[in-house]
Amino acid sequence: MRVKIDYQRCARPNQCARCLQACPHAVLLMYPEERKDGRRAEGWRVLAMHEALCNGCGLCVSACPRNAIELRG
Amino acid sequence: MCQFCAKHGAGRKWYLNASNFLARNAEDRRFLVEWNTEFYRNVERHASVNVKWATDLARTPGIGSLVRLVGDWRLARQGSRPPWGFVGQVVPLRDSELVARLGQRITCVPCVCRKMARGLEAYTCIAFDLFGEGAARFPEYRPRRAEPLSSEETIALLGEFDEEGYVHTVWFHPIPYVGAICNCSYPACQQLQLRRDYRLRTVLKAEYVAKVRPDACIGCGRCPKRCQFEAITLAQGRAEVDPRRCFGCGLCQAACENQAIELVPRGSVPSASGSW
Repeated sequence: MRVKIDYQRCARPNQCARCLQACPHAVLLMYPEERKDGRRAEGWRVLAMHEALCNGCGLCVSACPRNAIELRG
Repeated sequence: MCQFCAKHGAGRKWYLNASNFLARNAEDRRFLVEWNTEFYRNVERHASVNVKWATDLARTPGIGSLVRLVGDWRLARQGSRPPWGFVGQVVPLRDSELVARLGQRITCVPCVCRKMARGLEAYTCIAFDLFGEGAARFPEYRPRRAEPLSSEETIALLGEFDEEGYVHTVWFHPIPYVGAICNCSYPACQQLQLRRDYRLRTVLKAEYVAKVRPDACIGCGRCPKRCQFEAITLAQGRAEVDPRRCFGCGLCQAACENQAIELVPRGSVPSASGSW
């Protein structure tokens, strides 16, 4: 199953994280922009790191308040 | 004993060898400060975008076993840059308490995995010395309390985590230095996930295996619910441990009200012996 994330819609995943909490297999992860020094990272991005483990249950899709996730295949 | 005990244990288990807890000289100390700072600088990226290629390859038929072979070899080396040299092992509560007694300047820092995979702030990682110092450099990973925890406070915390059903794991930061005791839950734990779903050996099984005394087991079903490794099944009203799946974390033992489960050395069980 392909997990497609629309980053135009998903702008601040670190303040939401509903898709992360919804996934029974922890397929989705979020990671910050690269830190060059000790400062807090500003932008975070959701990545379908474990896409291979996705069984297409769709819980992340319905959990997303901004309809940013789409499952394909 | 596992490969790390043989190499870094000086006759005991690697995580109980006191000389693995402190930098051996000034040069090593500098290296550890640098390694641990670098580890935390982009810690979430080490476990996500930076290793996505490896997880993709590990599940590709044919190539997967080669990736695992190279991965095992690479992970077991010291490594001048993170994440290389960052490997761990599952330990039961009793061993984690012994580790807590050896740890210096202990702090409790937030779990990186639960943050990344669940968006949660959970203070479940016990950090030692220079590893804790590395975490403290970054605002989101600062310890809950700046002054160090005593061994007794640490042991009390480990007990709480055990009751929550978290698997205790001890980590090199980097090899051969003991840096942390994490308290993990699959699948949010990235290391347990890499191990279980991709068979990448980022975390070794414990030095023990659980064994059920059939005459004492009443088949209440508490232990299989606690097992994060799907190693226990109920058959004919008795719990049965599959020694090939068991990671030896001891959570089942703690859940058993009839003391029907014991932890025995991994080497004493033929089907589990040598399986790390």
